Amino acid sequence: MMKEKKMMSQSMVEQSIIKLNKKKLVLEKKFDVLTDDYIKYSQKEKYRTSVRINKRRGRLKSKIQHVKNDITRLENNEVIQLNVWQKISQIFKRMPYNKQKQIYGVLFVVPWFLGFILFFASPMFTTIWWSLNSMAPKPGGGFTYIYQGLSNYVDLFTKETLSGATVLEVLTSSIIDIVIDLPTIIIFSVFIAVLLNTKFKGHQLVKAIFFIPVVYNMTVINNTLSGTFGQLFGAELDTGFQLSQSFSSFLMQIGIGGGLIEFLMSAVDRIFLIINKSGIQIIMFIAALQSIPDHLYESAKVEGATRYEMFWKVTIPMVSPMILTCLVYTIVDSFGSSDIMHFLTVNSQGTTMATNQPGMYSAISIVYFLINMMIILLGFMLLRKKVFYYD
Amino acid sequence: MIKTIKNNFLKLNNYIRNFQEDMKSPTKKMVFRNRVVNLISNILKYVLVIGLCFVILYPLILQLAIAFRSPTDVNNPSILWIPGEFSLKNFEVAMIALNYFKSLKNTLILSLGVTALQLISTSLAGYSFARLKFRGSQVLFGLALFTIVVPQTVISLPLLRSLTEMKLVGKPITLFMMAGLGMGIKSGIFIYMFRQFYRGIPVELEEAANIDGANPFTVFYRIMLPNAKGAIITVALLAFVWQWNDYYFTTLFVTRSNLDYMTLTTQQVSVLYGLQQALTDAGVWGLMGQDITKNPLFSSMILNTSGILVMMPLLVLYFFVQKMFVQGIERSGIVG
Repeated sequence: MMKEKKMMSQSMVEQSIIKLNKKKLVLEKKFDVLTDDYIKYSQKEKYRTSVRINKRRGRLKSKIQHVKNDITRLENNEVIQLNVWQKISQIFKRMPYNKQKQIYGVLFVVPWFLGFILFFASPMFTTIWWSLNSMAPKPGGGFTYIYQGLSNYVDLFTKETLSGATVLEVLTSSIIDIVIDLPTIIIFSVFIAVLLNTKFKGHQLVKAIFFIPVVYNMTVINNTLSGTFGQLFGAELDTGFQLSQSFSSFLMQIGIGGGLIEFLMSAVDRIFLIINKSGIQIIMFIAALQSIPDHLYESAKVEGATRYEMFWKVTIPMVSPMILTCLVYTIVDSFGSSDIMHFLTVNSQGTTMATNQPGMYSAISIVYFLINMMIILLGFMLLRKKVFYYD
Repeated sequence: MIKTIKNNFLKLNNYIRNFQEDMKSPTKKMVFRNRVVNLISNILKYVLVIGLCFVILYPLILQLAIAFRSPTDVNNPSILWIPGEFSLKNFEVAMIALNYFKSLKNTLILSLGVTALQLISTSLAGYSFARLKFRGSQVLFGLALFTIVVPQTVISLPLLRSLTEMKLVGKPITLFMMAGLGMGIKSGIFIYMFRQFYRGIPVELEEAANIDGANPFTVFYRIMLPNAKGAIITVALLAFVWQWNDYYFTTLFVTRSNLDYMTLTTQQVSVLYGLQQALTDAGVWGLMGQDITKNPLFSSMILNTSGILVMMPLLVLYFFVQKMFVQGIERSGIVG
């Protein structure tokens, strides 16, 4: 670190001494005025104003002291010229802590805010603008824009199809998927979190196994498997479920009806998907459960509550804020695996939509986003009154 | 003989009588009932937990079982779980097709860089939103939450176009930039997690440090960060894993226009297209015989093996970090 230690020239020193002396005189005059005021008000027994004035007096006094110190330092030739950084740091150090915090708050947010403007806000607005335009690729690169208003959205619901299905059909099917999955995932993950939160033999191992779906990427593997060779591989996977088949035939032989078996089998089939989708949610709920103070359970026990009652009256209200968070996360997480994504890659003519019809592409993605927002808002409205904040 | 039976019978009789007498006192009845309930609930719990663990582990085990099967046994219906002939041939072929070590290196560079940058940017922003409130910080936090809700497809196309204009597409620096500026994969969630965590650290710590003459940055660096270990581990693992498994961003911004930076995940998706070429290149073609590559089962076997190869480093990493991760979650106290 090189520190510039320049001694000031003699004339500059003299000038600044004169300046500081003037400043000192002005300040001392102010100080005298304030002292008079202070005495006056305190004699009138207006204590509130007198205290306020006294505070200002104190501040002025310290300022005058600073100036005096500066003058003596100048006279003794002890002064070092500061570079810009040192000046800034000195100004900073003299600030009150609250202001320092605010400045650091802004500094810490600046990188995120830059990213937000560059990589989020501007593309977002561009998408909205594009969705209102009919766009065709120009031969030289770039696009020709024709402003169309909302006709892209109208076309979207009337003309576009994906392998026979209209946009509306695909949208409804993916929304139904979300609506079915949401409560299942949340209930399942609350249940598993409560289960994993108790201490039993081997709970460490079980926890480790339950978080494997967080690490293990099922979606990419599913993507590869749903390709040309997927069906064959799927057949191979099915052979493993002979166990469940024999189980169902066993139930048949006992004489349990077909409807129940079907339900059980579909639940078993689905449980695999649900476990894979609810890794993060389980983590969130375990964290929430850990933060419930023990004394709540203790007092409930003293009052004679059973475990079942404790679950409904203590655990569920305490984790209820987390249910909202999980709701949002689950909906967001289902963006990627939704059917609507196929629209974005290939359109009805078999060409990629992203390069040929960016307007339509934008319209689809915005419609999908709005619908998801609506589901989230609906969930919020439904749950808002049930959520309990413990503060 | 008869005597012993008689003795036993008497003992049993005694026992039952004792039991009946015990049941008359309410406390003993309560204790007994609790014990039975505990036993039953424990049995249920273990059955459930073991069953669910099986469901999770089942595909893993199946994948392993298929991976070790020798290519000649592809069509053999008698082999279901344990391979008849133990062979590593699938792994060899999959490694060639994945271009394994190069892709692994790329993936590691990308994931490590992105993780570090995400950690820095999101922890700073999260701390600012939690403790260093300034005018408008609430609004900014609302915007940060908004970024979570918007799907990537909404912004990806214009973003791709503007990045192409800036000639940033095809270089890993694009991903690094996005992560460093807090707009990487699911950064909003990380910011939220960090904020919730920092809010849980008592204010008194900060005040004490301030009285000892620490400025806000020192407080953050010397007091908050060491206390936030749990949150840091959780976020780091999630960021690493999500980058590792990411297909969408990585293809869009890097690998589609620059094949030198193929990561494992992006390679795996295109493994089948390169399979024959890879086999001929490596000279394994002759060993296998021509007809085997036309067998779809063989291809799916290779796909499956490549899936294992892609996930293996992550699983090994998880195995090491797992204990810290679980503890980190339990201590992190991320509550909404």
